[in-house]
Amino acid sequence: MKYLLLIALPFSVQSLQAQVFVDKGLIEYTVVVNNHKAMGESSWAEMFKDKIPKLTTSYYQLTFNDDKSIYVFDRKDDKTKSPFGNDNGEESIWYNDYAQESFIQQKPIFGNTYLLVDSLLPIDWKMTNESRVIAGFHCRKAVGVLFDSVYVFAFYSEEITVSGGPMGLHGLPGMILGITIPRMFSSWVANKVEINGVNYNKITAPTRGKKKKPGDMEATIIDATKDWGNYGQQVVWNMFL
Amino acid sequence: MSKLSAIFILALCLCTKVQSQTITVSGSVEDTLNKKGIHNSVIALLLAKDSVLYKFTRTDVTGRYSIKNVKAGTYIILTTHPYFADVVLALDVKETSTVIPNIALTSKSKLLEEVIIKSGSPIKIKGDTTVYTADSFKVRAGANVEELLKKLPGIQVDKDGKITAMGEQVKKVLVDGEEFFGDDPGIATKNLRADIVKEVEVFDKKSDQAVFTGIDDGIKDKTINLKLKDNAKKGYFGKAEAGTDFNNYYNNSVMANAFKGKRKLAAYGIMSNTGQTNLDWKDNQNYGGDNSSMEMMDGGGIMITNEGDGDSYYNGRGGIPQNWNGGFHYSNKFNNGKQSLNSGYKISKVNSPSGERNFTTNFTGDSSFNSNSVSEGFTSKLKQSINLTFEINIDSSNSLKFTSRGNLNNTQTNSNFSQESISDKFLLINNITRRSNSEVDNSSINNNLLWKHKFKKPARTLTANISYNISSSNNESFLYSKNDYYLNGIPNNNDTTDQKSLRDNKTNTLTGNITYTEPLSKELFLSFTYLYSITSNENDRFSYSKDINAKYTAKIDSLSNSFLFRQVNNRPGVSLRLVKKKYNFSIGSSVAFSHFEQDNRSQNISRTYDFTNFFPTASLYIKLKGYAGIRLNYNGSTTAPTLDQLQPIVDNTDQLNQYIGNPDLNQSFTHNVNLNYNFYNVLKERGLWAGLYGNLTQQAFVNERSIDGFAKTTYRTVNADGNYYFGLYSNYDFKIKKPNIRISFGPNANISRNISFLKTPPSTAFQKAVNTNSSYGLRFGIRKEKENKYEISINPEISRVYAKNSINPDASANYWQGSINSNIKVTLPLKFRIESEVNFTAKEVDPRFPAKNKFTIWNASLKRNIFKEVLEASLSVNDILNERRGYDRSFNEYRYSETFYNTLKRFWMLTLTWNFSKNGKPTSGF
Repeated sequence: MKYLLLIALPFSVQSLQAQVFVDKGLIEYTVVVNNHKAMGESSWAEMFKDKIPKLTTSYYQLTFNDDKSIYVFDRKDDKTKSPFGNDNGEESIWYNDYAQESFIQQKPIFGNTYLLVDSLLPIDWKMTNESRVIAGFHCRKAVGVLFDSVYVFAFYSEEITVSGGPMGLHGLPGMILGITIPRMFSSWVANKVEINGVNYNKITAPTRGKKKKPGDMEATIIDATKDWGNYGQQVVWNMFL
Repeated sequence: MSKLSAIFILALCLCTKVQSQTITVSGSVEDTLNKKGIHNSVIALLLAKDSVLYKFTRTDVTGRYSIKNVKAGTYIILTTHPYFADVVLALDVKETSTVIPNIALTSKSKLLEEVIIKSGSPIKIKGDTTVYTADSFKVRAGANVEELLKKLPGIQVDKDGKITAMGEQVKKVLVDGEEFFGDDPGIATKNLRADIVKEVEVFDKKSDQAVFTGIDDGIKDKTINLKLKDNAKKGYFGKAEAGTDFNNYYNNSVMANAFKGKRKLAAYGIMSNTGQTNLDWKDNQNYGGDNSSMEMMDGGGIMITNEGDGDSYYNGRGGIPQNWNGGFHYSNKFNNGKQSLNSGYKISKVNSPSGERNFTTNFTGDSSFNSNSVSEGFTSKLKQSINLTFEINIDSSNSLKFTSRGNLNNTQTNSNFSQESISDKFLLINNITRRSNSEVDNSSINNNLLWKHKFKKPARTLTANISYNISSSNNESFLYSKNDYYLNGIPNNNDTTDQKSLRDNKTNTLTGNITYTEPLSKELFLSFTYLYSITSNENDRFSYSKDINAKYTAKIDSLSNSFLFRQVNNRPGVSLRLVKKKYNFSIGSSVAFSHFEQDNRSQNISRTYDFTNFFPTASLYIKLKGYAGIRLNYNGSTTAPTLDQLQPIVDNTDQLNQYIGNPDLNQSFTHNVNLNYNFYNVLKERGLWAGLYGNLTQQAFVNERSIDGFAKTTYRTVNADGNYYFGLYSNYDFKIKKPNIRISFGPNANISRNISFLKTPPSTAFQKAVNTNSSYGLRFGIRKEKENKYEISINPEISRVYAKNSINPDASANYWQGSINSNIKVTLPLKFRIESEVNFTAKEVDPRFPAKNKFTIWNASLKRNIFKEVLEASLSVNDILNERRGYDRSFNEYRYSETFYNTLKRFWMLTLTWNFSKNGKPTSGF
C-alpha cells in the first residue's frame, strides 16, 4: 500500500498524462546467469562450483523506435566471468520489426556467423495480477511458455507503447523490462531507460553472415547437440531466443 | 493491487450488432472524474479459460479502440492504464460485431484515498523473513507439507488448498529456493512429505528471493520457501561382481557409495588374478574418492589434474599378478560449502611371479657375442596410503587448502638369474648365476598448504604455497652371485659375491612458493614468482660379507658409504601475459640458482657444485574464424646433472653392468617447441587436429659405454650435442551423415637422433655412435553405431620404420609394421549383448629375430541383464586364439635383443554383477 502511494502521488494524473507514454528510447538490461545452477549436480560440477563465481553479470542494450528495435551486448562485469559462460550473445545482433512481426538476427553459431531471418516467435502469454516497478516503470507480470515447455516470467510496462523486449521476446501490451527464465538459470532486468540523446540510427538490420531460416538450422543443431545432455539443451534455447 | 481492482470489476451490458464472418470488438474508455476519453489505455482480450492473452490494442486520443478479426468465444476483457485502476469484464463474443459501450476508469490516487479511509487497516510490516522450524510442529506420520502449514501460526490453508500467510495469499511455494513444477503453490505442499522439511520460511522481500536463486525475478509476493533437511537427499548406489572360471581365475569386487546431502561415504574391495589391479577411472570417481582436482587458470582455462597411483593398470609385464585391494573414502562439505573435507585410505597387496628369457647379440668391434639369460622371480607388494584435503573459503577474497598424503609400502622380492655369453666362434666368455632377495620399506608424508588471495582490484592476486615432504626407505638385501670368466674358451678367472646390504635413505624437502599477479591494464598482466626449496638427503649403505661363523658381520669398506646431500634452490621469475579477443600472448622466464653439497661422511670428503639454470617460456594463441585456432609454445629449460650422475653410490648388484660417476658434467639445455592447429565444425561434425612438436638438446646427457673382453660393461654419463626429436600428429575426423558413419584418418611421423659413445675391444678409444630413428605412418578409423542396436569400429594403422646406426650397420633396420583394432557390440534378440574386440599386430619378418611376428588377440563376451537392470550375467573369453605372447625386440648401437616373458593368456570367465541403488546412481563424467 505504501508502494502504491509512491507511484501514484508524484504524478498529477491529468497534467502529465499526455507525456508519460514512451514510444522510443534505450533500455539497458542487467543479465544475470546463475552458473552454479546451470552446471547441475554431478560430482564434476561440485568440484567446479567453489572455483567459479556463482553469478555472471553482463549488460545489454535495447534501442527502440516505434515498431523497430535493436538489441546488442554492451559490456560485462569481468569479476564475474565464468569459463563455462555462453558468450555467443556478445557477438549477436537482434533486429526486430514488431509491426511486420519479423526479425533479423546476426548470430555466431558454433564459430560461424549466420543471419537468421524469420517471423517473431509467437508466445502465449498468461496474464496475472502481479506487478512491480522496474527502472521507475510500473510493470505487470505475464507468464509465457517457450519451446513447448520453458516457462518465462515477464514484467512489461504499458507506459512504453512498443510491444518489444530483450532478444526476440515480444507480444505483450507494452515493453518487457524484466524476464526470468528459471530453466535457463537467467534473468534480464532493466536498470535504466533513457529517452534523451539516444542514437536511433543504430536501428538497422544486420547484414553479415550466411542467411538462414532458424527452422532449417534447428534440426541440425538439435542433432549436433543431442549427446550434450542438459548443456546441449541450454545451447539450443540460447540460440533461438 | 488485485484486491483493489477486484472491487471495481464492473458488469456492463453489451450491445451487439450482427455482421458476417469477421468480428470486431470496439468501444471506448473514459475517466470517471472528467468523463473524458483516456489515451493509450490497453484493452486486452484474454481467453476466459486460461487467461492467455489473445489480442490487445491501445485507445486513440479520444479513448476509442477496436480489435479486428476476433474469433467467436468467451473472453475476459482487461482494461488497464498505469494511472487508473484495472477494469475486468467478462465478454461473450458470438458471430457478431461486439461494441462495448463505455469503460470508466478511476484514478488510482483517488482510489487509494478511499480504500485507506474505508478500511482503516494498518500498513503491513514488510521486511524480515519469518522462519518456522518444522520439527517443532507435530504432524502425523506420513503427513504432507499442507498439513504442516496448517499447524503454523499466522498461516491458514483453506479447503481448496489456498494458503494465506500473515493475511496475504501465498503466491509461490519454493523448495530449497527453487520453483517446484510451475506456478501452483498446491503442487509442492500436497506432494512433499512434511518430515523432510527442515524449515518453513515466509517472506515477501524481493532480495531474499534473489539470494536464494541468485536470480532477481522481481517476486514481491508472499512466498513460502521450504528448506529440506539435508538427509532428504540421502541414498546409496554400488555394485558387487563375482567372476570365476571355476578353476584358476577369479575377479571379484564390491563397491558402494552412500551419500547424505553433501556427505559421501564410499568403500570398495577387489580380489583378482586377471589383471584388474585397481579401480578403473570411472569406478575411482564413484567409489575411490576421485583424486582429480581442478584449478582455474589465469587465462580463463581450466586445469584438471589427476593423481594416479601409478600402477593402476596391468601392462602385461612382470608376470601374472594376484591382487587384493581395499579402500575407504569420506568427504563432506560444511557451512554451505565454505569448508570441505576429503579423506581416504587405500590398501593393496599384489603378488606377482614372473619369468623372463632374453637373447642378445652384442657387437664388439669386428666380432660379436651372444648373451642368453633366464630369470625367475617373485614380488610381493603391500601398499597403504592415506589422504586428507581440507579447504576453507574464508571469505570471497581468501581461501586456504591443506593437503596431506601418507604412504607406507613394503616390497619383498626374490629372484634367480643366470646368463651365459658365447663368442661368435662358439667359445664361452662368461657364465653368471645370481640369487638375490630383498625387502624394502618405504614411507612418505607430504603436506601442502596453499593460500589464495584476491585483491579488490580485479585480476590482482597473490598465492602462496608451502609444502613439506618427508620420505624414507629401508632396504635389506642379500646377494649371492658366482661369475666365471673365460678367455678363448678356457677359464680365466672367477669371483663369488655373498653379501648382505643395508641401505637407508631419508629425504626432507621444504618448498615455499609465492606468485603475485598485477593487471597493468584490462588486457595486460604481469606476474612475479619466487620459489625457494631446500632438500636434504641422507643415504647410508653398508655391505657385509660372511664371517667365519657364516654370519654377515664383516663390513666391506669398498661397498659401504654414508652420504649427505643438500640442495638449495632459489628461483625468481617474471612473466607478462597479453589477453586479446583474437589472440593471447605470453612471455616469461625464471632463473634457478642451485647449490649442491655432497658430503661423503665415510671418507670425509665433501664437494659442492653450483649451477644457474634458465627457464624461458613463450606462447601465442591465435583464434581463427569458426571453431579454429593456432597455438605456438616454446619453452627452454636447463637441467643440472643429478648427484648420482656426478658421484654415484657404488652398487655391485649387477656386476656385468657398472655405473660410474662423472664429476665434470655440465648442465644440458633443452628447447621445446610445439605448434598446433585445430578446427571443429559442430554442425557438419568434422574437425582437424594437427600438431608439430620437437625438442633439441644442447649438452645432452648421454651414455658412454665401455665393454671389455669378458662382456663386462661400465658406463657413465657425458655431455653431447645433437640430440633431437621431431614429430607430426594429425587426425581428420568427419561424418557421412546419411549412413551415419564416422571416418577419421591422419598421417603421423617422428624422427629422432640420439648420440652415444662406445668402446669395445680391440679398440681403446671411444667411438661416437649416432642413432637415427624415424617412422612414417597412417592411421585410419571407421565407426558406425545405432543406439541400443550395435556399435562397430575398425581402426587399421600402418607405418614404415627406419633405424640407422652410424657405427654398427647390424643395428640398422627398415621394416613395415601395422595393426588392426576392431570393436563390435551388438544387441541380440532376447536381450543378449555381444562384445568382441580383436587386435591384430604384425611386423615385417627380420631374419635376426626368428620369433613369431604376427599376433591376433581376440577377447569376446556375451552378456544379459536379468531382473531389469539389477543383475547382469556375462560370459567372457580372454585371448580366444591363445596367441598372446610376452615378447619384445629391440636394437641399438652395440646389440640387438629379444625378450620373452610370462603373461596372462587364454582364460574364460563367468561373471555375475549386481547393481544396487536407492535415490542415486553412479556418475559418468559430466
